[in-house]
Amino acid sequence: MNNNCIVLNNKKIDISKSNPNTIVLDWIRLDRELKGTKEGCAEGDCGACSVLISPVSGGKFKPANSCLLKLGQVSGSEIVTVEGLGNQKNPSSVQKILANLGASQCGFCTPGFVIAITGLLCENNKPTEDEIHDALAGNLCRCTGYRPIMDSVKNIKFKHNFRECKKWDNTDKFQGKQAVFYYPKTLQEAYNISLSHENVKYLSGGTDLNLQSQDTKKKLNYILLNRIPELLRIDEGNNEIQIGSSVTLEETLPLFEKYFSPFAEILRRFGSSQIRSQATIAGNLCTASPIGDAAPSLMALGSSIEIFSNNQKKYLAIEDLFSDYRKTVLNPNDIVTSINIPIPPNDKKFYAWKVSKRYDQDISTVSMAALIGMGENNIIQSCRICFGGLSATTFRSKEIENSFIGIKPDQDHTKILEITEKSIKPLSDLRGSADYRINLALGLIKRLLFKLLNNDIAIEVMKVKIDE
Amino acid sequence: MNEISNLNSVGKSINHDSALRQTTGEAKYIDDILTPKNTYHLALVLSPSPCGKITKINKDKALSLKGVEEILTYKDIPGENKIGPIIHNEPALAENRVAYVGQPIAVVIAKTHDLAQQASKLVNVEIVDDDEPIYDLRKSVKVNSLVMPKMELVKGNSKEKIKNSECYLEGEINIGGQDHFYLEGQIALAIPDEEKQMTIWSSTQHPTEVQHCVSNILGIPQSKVTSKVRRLGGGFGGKESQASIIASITALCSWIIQKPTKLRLTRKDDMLATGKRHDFISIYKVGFKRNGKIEGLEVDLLSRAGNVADLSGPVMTRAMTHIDNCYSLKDVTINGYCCKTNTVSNTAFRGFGGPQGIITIETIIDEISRKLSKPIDEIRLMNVYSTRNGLKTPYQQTVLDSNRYTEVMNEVFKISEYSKRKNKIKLYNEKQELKGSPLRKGLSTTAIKFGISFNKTELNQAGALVHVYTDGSIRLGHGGTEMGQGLFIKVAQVVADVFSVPVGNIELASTTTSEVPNTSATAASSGSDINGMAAYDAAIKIKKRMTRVASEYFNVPVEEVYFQDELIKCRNKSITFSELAEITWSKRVSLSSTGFYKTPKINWNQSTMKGKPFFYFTWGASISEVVIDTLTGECNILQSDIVQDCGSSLNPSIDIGQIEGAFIQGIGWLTCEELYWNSSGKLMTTGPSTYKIPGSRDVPNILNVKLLENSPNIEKTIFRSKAVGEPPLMLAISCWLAIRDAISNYRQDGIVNLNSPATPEEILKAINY
Repeated sequence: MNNNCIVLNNKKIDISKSNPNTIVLDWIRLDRELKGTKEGCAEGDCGACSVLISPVSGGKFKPANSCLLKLGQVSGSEIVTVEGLGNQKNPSSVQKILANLGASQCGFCTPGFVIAITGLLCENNKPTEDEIHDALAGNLCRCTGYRPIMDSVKNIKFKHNFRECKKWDNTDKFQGKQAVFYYPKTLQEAYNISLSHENVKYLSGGTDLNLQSQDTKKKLNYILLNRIPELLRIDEGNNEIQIGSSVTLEETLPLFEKYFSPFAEILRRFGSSQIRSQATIAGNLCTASPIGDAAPSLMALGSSIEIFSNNQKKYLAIEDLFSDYRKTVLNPNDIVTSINIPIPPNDKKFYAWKVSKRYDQDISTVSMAALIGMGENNIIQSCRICFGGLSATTFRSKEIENSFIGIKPDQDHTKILEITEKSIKPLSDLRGSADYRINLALGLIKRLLFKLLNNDIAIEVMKVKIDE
Repeated sequence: MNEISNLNSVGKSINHDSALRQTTGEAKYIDDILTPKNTYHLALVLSPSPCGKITKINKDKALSLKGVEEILTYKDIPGENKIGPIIHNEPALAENRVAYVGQPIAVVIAKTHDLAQQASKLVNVEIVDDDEPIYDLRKSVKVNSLVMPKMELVKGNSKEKIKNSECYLEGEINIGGQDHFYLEGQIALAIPDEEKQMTIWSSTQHPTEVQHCVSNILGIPQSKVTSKVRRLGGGFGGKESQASIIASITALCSWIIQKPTKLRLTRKDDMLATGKRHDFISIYKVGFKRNGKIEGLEVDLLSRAGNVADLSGPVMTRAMTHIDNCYSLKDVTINGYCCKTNTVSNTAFRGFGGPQGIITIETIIDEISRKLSKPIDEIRLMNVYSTRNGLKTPYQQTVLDSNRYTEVMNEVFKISEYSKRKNKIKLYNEKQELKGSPLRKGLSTTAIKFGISFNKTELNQAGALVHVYTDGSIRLGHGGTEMGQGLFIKVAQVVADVFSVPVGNIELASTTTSEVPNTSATAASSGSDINGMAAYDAAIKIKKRMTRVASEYFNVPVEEVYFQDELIKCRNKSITFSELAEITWSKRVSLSSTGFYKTPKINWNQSTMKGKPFFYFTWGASISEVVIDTLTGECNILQSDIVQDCGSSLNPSIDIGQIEGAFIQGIGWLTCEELYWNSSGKLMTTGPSTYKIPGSRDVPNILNVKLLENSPNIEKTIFRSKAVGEPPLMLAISCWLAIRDAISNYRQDGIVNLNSPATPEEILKAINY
C-alpha cells in the first residue's frame, strides 16, 4: 500500500506519521513551518488561513479554509500556500500588485487574499465587480476598507500558469496512532465500515462537522465519502437534476444558476468560495440546522434525497427528513447518496430570499423559498412556501400555503399575513428577536406578492444601482 | 523646517515598508517568530460567571493530562497583581471574586497550544453567585455604580437658555459598542534571560506599558524588562492597554518556570476576555430658535466602562470634548457617567469616545432639522464655529481654523454633485411610492472636527534613536508601533529627507524599550506627529554634526554646506553621504543621536474640564447615499464621498488608506457590527461567524476619497501635516444619517427613532415605530 502523502508547494510530503485529525493549518504552520498562512478565527470566516487545494477529481486549484480541514481529508491532494506562489525576490503578479496599490496594511489577512484572488483568476481572468466580491466574501480585512484590494484585482494582468491538477492519489485508509480515516471506494464498503466500527462518522467537506469537534478532535475516526465515484456525479435530467451527495457547492452552482437562480444566489451568499469548494448540500441538510440555507429552497422545490441503507436504496422527501432541532430521521449508518431536485415546470415560478445582518457569508435570520403556480387571470393556483429561522426545523405550513390559493397578488392579503403570524413562534437570539423574525416572514411574503406582479423590477437593495 | 534643502520623499505616495514582505507571507508576526525549542504554550481559564466569589479552583483533571506543566493563579504572582493604564486597579488574574464572564482566573502552561487549550477547559472553577450582576447603564447610574466620579463640563447656563428657547427637543440615542477584530489576536512571547531579566515580544501599541506591567507583576525594576514589537496584525486601540494584560500573564508564566512561554488567545477567548469600544446612551435636551440656532444643550453621557476603569475616564473626556463637533455651543452642560457593570472592561478604540460624542450632536442636529423641516446643512451653518457664531469650545479652547469647515464642505458638495442627487433621490422615492415598492433612498452629509493630542498632556511626548553607520546606512528607531497604518514609512520619509537619501536607505528597527524608553502608546492618531518630530530631532542633530565635519573638510563656512541627492555639497565640490559618514567617524564625532519631542501649546485641567487639550483640529466632510428595504430593514450604501484635511500629507496613498479603512470600520460600527450578550451576561458574538465586520461588498458601490488640497497645518507639525488615523471613522456618520433620512422619507412624519448599529432589525424597528 502506498503511504499517505500531500504535494505541498510542488513537493511531495509523506504524512503517514501524523494524526489524520490534525488541522491542515496547524500542519502547515507547525509541522511544515510555513508561517505565511495565518490563523485569524479558526472557524472558516476570516480567510486568513486560505490555501489552494486540488479538487478530488482533479482540475483547477480551488481556495479552501485550512482551519476547517483535517489532514486525513486531504491525503492525496495537492496544496499551495502563499509561499508556493512567490517570494520577495520573485513575487507573483498578485503579490506584486497588492503591494504596489496599498492593499496590505497590517498584512495579517493578506496571504489569504493572495490565495483567494489567485484562485479566482485561475478560473476567470476578467472577473466582474460582483464576481470579485463573491470571490472575496470569505476574506476579512480590517485595515484597508477593501478598495485597494478590489482595484488590484481589476487592474492585474494575471500570469500564473497553473497546470490542471490530477485526481487525488488514493489509499484505503490513513491509520494514525490515535485515529483512523477510511477511504472507501464503494457505498457498500463505506456502509460496512460504519456497521462494523464504533466511534466512526461519515465525513465529506467537513466545514460544519470540523467546527463542532474542535474540543475532542484528536481521537475521532471518519469514513470519507468524497472518494466514492458514485457520490461525485451530477445528472441533469429533463425533469429533475440529481446531485451526488459529495458534490461540492461550487460544482452545483452552474446547474442551480440555470434552473433556479435565486437558490444559487443564496448558496453563493451562504458560503464563501473557500467554503463552497469543500461543503456539500448533503452536509448542510444532515446537520439539520433550522437556519440551514439549503433546506427551504429544496423543500419548496419538492426535492427528495436518495439514501443507501445496506445495499438498498430509499427515497425521502426533504420535509420528512428533519425530526427535531438538529436531528434527522436517518439511521447512523445510512448514507445520503444524492439530492434529487425537480426542475420547476414553465407555469411555476421559484423565488428564494434570505435576510441576514451582512449580505455575504452570514447565517440567515430568516429565509424563505416559494414555488408559485399562476393560473388564468393572474390567480395563484398552487403554492409551496418554506421558511428557515422560524422554528426548530425548516418550516412549512399547509395552512399558510392554502391561504395563497385563489387570490390575486394585488388583492387584499391580510388573511395570508394573519395566518402566517398565527402559525409561527420563532425564538429570540443573537441573529434577531422573535418580533423581528415574525416581521421578516411577513415582509418576505409581501415581497413575494409584489414580485409576482412586478417580476422585472429588482426589489433587493443589493441590486439597486446609484443611477436609478 | 527650512533646513530641508531638497524634498525627496515627503509628500510622495510611497508603499508601506513591508508591503511586499506581507503579500508574500514573509513578514513575521509574533506567532511566526522562531521560538526556542523548549517554549511552553499558555491558555487562560476564563470566568463562566458574571459575578461572585471564587470558592475553589479544581486543577487536578487538567494537570493529569500529559504535557501540562503547571496552572497558575494570582497567588503565584511575585509582584503586584495590578494592571491598568491610568488607575492601576485591574487584576491580571482574578483574586477572590470575578466581575464578568470571560475574566481570566488562571493560566495553564503546557507543551502545545492545543494541549493548553484542552486543559484550560478542564479546570473547574467553583463560584458562588452572592451578588446581583449589573448590566444596565441606567441602573448603574441609579445605584451609583461607577468606576470613577461623575464628570461635568459646563459652560454658560444651559438650563435657563433651554427654558426660554422658542423650540425644544429631548431624546436619547443608544450607541452600540464594537469589537476591534484585529485579524491577529492578542499574543505575547516571553523569554527569560540571565540576571532575572525578561524579554517580551508583544503585539502591543504600547511597549512601554507592557514593560511597566511586566516589571510590576514580577516585582523587578523596569530596567530588567525589554519589551519589543516589530509589527501588529492590527490594533485599532484594542492593543493599547489590553495587550499589557496578556503580556504580563505570559511573563509571569515564563518567570515561574524559567522557560520561554507564549500566550496566543483564540478568537473566542480574545473576544470574551478583552475590552471593546464603549457602548453609550446619550440623553439630551436641547433648546433652539426657529431658525435652528442651538440656544442651550444638556447631555448625559452614559458609557459602559465594564468592571474596572481601564481607559474609560479618558474615553469619556474625549466624548465630552467632542459633543460640540463643528458647532459653537454657548450654553451647555455635559455630564459623563462611566458605568461599572459586570461586563468586560471596555477600552480604547479608534476615535476613543469621539465617535460617541459626535454621533450624539449629529443626531441632535438631524432631529432639529426634521422638527423644523429645514435642510440639515442649513442647521449646521446656523451653528458652525465662525467669528459670527463664536470660536470658543465648551472647554475654552479657541478654534483657529474654522474656515476649514467651509472648505471641506464645499469640496464634498462639489465632488458628490450633492444638490443634483438630492433631487434625483426625491424623484426616486416618489416613483417607488407610486409603484408600491418597499425601497426608499436617503442622502445625508456629515462634517467632523477632531482634536489632535492626548487629552492627558504628559502623554504628548515621544523619543527616537537614529544611528548613521560608517557605510552611510541609517538605522531608525522610535517609540511608535507599526500596526499597518504606515507609521514606519512616514517617519522614514522624514529621516530620509533630512539626510537627502533615498527612503530605502533607512533601516527600520523593531520598537524596543531598550532603544527608546518611556514612550507613549501609538494612539490618538498621534503616531507620525510625535514620532516623526522626535526622529526629525535626532536626525537633525546628527546632520548638524556631519555638516560641521563637512565644512572643515571642504574648508568652507557651515552655511555653505548642503545635503542633496545622497551628496554633501558646497560650491562646486561634493562627497557622498557614505564618505562623509566615514570621515565623521574618523574625526571622532558621534553619528548617533536620540531625539525628543513634546507637543507645544497644550494644557488641560481634568477637574474643571477646561484648557487647551488639543494642539490642533483636523476637519473632514462626507456625503452618503443609501437605499433601504422597508419590508425587511436591509440596507445598501450606494455612494460615499469624502474630503479629509490631512494638512500637507506626508504620504497621500498611506493617508488615503487610513481614511478608507477608518471609514469602513465606522460603517461596521454603525451598521452590521452588533455585540450580543445573553441574559446571564455572556457575550454570544465571539467570532466572525456571529460578529459581522464589513466585507468587501459592504463598501459603498462608489467611494470617492479626496484630500483637501493646499491646506498646510496652521501649527508647526512635522512638515505641516495632520494626523489621520481616527477622524475619518466618524465620517461614516454620514451613512447613519442617510439611513435616518431614508427612514424619514418613508414615514414622512419626521419621526426617526433609530438605534446604532442600524442592523436590518433596528432599521425595520424604526420604520414600524
